[in-house]
Amino acid sequence: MVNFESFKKSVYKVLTPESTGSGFQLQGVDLVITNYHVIEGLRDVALESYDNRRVKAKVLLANPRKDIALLKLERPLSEGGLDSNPAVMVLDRDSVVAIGYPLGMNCTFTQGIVSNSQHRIQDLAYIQVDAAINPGNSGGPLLNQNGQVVGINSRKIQEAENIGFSIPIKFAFEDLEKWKTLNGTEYTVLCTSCENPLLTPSEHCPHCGFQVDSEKYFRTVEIDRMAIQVESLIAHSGHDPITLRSGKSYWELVSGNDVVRMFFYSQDYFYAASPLVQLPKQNIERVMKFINSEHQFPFYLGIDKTKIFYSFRKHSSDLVLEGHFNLIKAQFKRYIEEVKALEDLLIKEYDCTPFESLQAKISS
Amino acid sequence: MEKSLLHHHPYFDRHEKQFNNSVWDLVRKANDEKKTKVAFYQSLNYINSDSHYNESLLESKSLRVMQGGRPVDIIWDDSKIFFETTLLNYKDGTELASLRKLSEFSFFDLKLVQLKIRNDKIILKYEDQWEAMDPYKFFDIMEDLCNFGDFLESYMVKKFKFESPNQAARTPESDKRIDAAWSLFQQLSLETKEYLNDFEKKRYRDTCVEVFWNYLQKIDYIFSPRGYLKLELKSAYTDLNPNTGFETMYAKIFTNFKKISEITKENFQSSFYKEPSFMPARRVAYVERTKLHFDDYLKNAFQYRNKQDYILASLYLNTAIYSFLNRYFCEPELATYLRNLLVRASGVSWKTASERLYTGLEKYLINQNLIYHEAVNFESALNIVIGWFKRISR
Repeated sequence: MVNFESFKKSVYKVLTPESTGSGFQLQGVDLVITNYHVIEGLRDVALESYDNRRVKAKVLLANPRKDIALLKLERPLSEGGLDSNPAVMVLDRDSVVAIGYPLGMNCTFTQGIVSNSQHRIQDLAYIQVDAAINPGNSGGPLLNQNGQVVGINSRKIQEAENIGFSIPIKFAFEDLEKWKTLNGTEYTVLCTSCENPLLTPSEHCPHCGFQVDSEKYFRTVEIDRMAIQVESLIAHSGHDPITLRSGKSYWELVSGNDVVRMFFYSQDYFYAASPLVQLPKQNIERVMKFINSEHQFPFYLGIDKTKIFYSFRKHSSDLVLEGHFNLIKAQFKRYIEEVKALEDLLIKEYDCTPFESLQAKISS
Repeated sequence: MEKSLLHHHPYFDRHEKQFNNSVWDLVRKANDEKKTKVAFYQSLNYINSDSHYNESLLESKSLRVMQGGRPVDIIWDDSKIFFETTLLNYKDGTELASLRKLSEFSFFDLKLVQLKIRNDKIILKYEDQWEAMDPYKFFDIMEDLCNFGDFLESYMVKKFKFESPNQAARTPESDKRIDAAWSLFQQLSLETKEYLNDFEKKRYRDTCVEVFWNYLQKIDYIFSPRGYLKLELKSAYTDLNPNTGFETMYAKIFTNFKKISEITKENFQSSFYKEPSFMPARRVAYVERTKLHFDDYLKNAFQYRNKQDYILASLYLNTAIYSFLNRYFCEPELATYLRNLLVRASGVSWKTASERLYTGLEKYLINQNLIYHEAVNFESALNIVIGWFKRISR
């Protein structure tokens, strides 16, 4: 009996400034495989393990034609990897399991069958499956009943129910082989015609003469002005903003037991909010008075159901005002530093209940 | 119930000052030149067209402005500016649920302003550096302090029996005016009740929903209530949420109608007082906003008319006009035009009412070049035929 549960250690969430996707590692390979469309326009992304540890990863190889990308982790997130080989095949009606992080949620398994093992879209044969593949699943592995990776989940038909497509894993093995021969550390794009490597932008492929859309494949996505300012705040507080990116205008810091979410509210406000503790079972009045006292100025304390949140709120104009922004940076650093101390205070002085686990805090 | 619902003219004036648009350029100019103190007093002039503050205001170091009968204090020194308003009296032993509600408001409803307990008072406060006093931020802070402050004060007084230091200072409306308003309110509620009962008997459930929408918008339009009645309206609007499921929403219509229509005269009276508001609750309706507001209403009314459901088409457009007038300031010509439409569609047959409202609104939008007249498409023609067929089969 194959233990699918253990596979999630080798499947990661890929976090970018635009969206989230999935990626995975194979046994004996130190690169992470994902879809090209997940990392398009980026050179650095963040990867998150199923237990919420994050590291930065570099995009090394992009194969736009087959929608495959290879990423190099800054440091390993797990040992081992998923089993597979270039010859592994699937047949129609074989049972398969897709693993990934749909809609940025926790690691999720979905089961289905192969609806068509050779569904041709343009000149490529995809594996068509009926397992639920949703946004965020892109780049995650498709496994057969023996626990071997047979494909990379790539796309679905939006208007239809349960029509998803996976890229056969043999293509990823081909790209890994190409990467071995290059043995470089620079971003490389494979020509969309001959799939030979292009290290620098050029109008035509030097190998086959095909007209290459270099502007598209070598471009780098610029984050907007406000996001740059937020990342500057994050960097000033001692954290790497790239590893905190969690989708469009959204950052999440998980450090030790602290969880801080940063986002824009109705475009006009930058908020950071941290779930601290749960309300105590008794003597709630004391903690309510504390929450409504003036002690936390200029920060904010409030409650949502049974949880106490500590937040930092600024008008968007505060982030772009030269000079004043230094004060905001200092305040934000202080806010991040105070999260832990305030949590301890609420537990010790006000009998508040800590979250039962980090996961509970993250999902609150 | 063969005739359309009656229209009533506004009874209590809103006393709301319009945004002073001509001053906005001065605000922006001062802010661009980093003259934030000038931008501040011009922003006050922008919000309230009656005020004419100038450089001399800055020397006074403080200002008290009234919001719905509650003072908002603005104090400043050379480097900082402080905003504060006292909402409620606070005493030890206050009900736990009320403290919890305050903490929830702090987290969800307020944007930048903070809600705090200071000694025996519950206050809203905000402070900032002068250099960071952006006009848009100033506007948002005033919204929190004034509009949300009004709501919060009324909510806590009503739900938790808090005392407000501001209530005694307010000038109530005269008994005579309240009596007349009360009688009009009773008349409106009675009329709505008859229509609701009739449509409920006929199982016209969608129509009941629209009648109730119309009732809420009309109360807002005719009486402009504050405090108690305003909160009841707000809560009823929230309950009209189709996402909760039609059955749940439908059931709440009757509960909320009962709650509002059977309000005591004392609570009704406490919803009115004379002081003008400082921060306008309505927005300026630009041409594009006017188009956006009426576009969907017209499209849906068109569908109802195709199905020969003139009752729903009329109610739908009627509500569209009331909600527009309640939500926005618009050009006086447009306001008069809309009011005339309401008068012409009042107490006539449903078909006539829907015809007058639909063609009237459509004509206005076409004249303003806001919409193009679309040709009748196959789908709408088919709907007409199906409608005829249904009538014949009945």
